[in-house]
Amino acid sequence: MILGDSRAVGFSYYQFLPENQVLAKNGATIDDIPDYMDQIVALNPSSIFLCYGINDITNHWRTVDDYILDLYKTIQTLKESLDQVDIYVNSIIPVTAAAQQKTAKYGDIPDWNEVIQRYCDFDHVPYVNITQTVADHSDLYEGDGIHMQATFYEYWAIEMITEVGDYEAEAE
Amino acid sequence: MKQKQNNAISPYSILRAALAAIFLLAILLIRFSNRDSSASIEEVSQQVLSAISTDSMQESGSRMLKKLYDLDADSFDGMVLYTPVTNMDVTELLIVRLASDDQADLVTEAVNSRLKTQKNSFEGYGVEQTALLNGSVLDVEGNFILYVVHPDVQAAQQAFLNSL
Repeated sequence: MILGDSRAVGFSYYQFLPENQVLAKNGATIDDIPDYMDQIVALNPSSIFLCYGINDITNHWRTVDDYILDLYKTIQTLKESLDQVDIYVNSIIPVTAAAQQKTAKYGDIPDWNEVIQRYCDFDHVPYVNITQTVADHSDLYEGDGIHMQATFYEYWAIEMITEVGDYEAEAE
Repeated sequence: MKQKQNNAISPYSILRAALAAIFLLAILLIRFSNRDSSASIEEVSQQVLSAISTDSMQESGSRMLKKLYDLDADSFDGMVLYTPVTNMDVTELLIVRLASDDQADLVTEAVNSRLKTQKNSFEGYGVEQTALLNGSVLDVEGNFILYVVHPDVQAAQQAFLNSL
C-alpha cells in the first residue's frame, strides 16, 4: 500500500497499482493519514510506503526535527493499528531549479531527506532513497518541475521492490 | 327572379379552417420542440476535436467512462471521452449521443459529480486547474451532451453546436 501526496497518486493514475492500494491525494501531508485509517485497517497491508514531503516541507512544521517527531508518531500509530506491517519511508523527490525558484522552501528538500534518512537508520525504518533515480531520469519531470511522468514510476517501483527485498533479507 | 346568395359562412368552413389551424400549430410545435440531431457521434466529435488542442489529453474508453463517471458506454448511442494525460492536468472532453432523451439527467448528474470531485482535488492546491474547472462547459442539446474542460472551451462548444 502507498500513502502519499500528488506524486504518489501517479501509481494509481498510471495504473501501476489499483486505487484502493494508493491512498493519496493532491496537497496531502502525513497529517492526512488518520483520515485513511479505516481503509488501511480494513485492507491490513503487510507493507506501507509513506510517500510524502513536497507539501509537508511548506506546511506547519517549522523545522525538519519537528517533522521527524510527527513522522515517528505516525509510524507508531500505523504499527499499533495493524497486525504485522513493515513501514517504508520514501525520500522526498527533489524539484527542478525552475520549480525551486517559485517556491524557495523546496530548496530544503535535500536537508530534509538527510535528516529523515538519519532518523530512519536510527529507528530501523527502511528508507527508499530515489534521489539518484530522479537525477538519472531528470528528463522525466513534468512541465511543472515537481511531478514526474508516467515512465518514471517504473523506476520508482523498482527501487521500492529492491528495498523490500533488501529489508526482508536483513530480517531473516 | 334570382335567388339572393347566402353570404353567411357555413359551419363546415369554420370547422375546416379550425382544423387546418390546429394542424399547422401541431406541425410547428413538433418542429421546434424536437432538438434531436441526426448527426453521428463521429461527425460531432470530429468537429469538436478539430477545434481544440488535444496535446494534454488522451482518448479513453468505456472503462474510464465507468471509472470517472460511473456511466455504461453501452447504454448510449455513442460516446467520445478524452481524459488528462497526467494526474496534475484537468483538461477533459466528453461527448455523449443519448439513446433516449430521458438519459440526459443521468449524464448531467454524472458530469456534475465528476466536476465536483475534480474541484475538490485541486481546491487550494492548483490555481490554474481550478480556474479551468470553473470555466468548464456542460451543454445538453437534445440527444447530444458536451462536457469540456479546456483553455479553448468556447471553441469546443461552438464547434459542438455547429456540428449538430
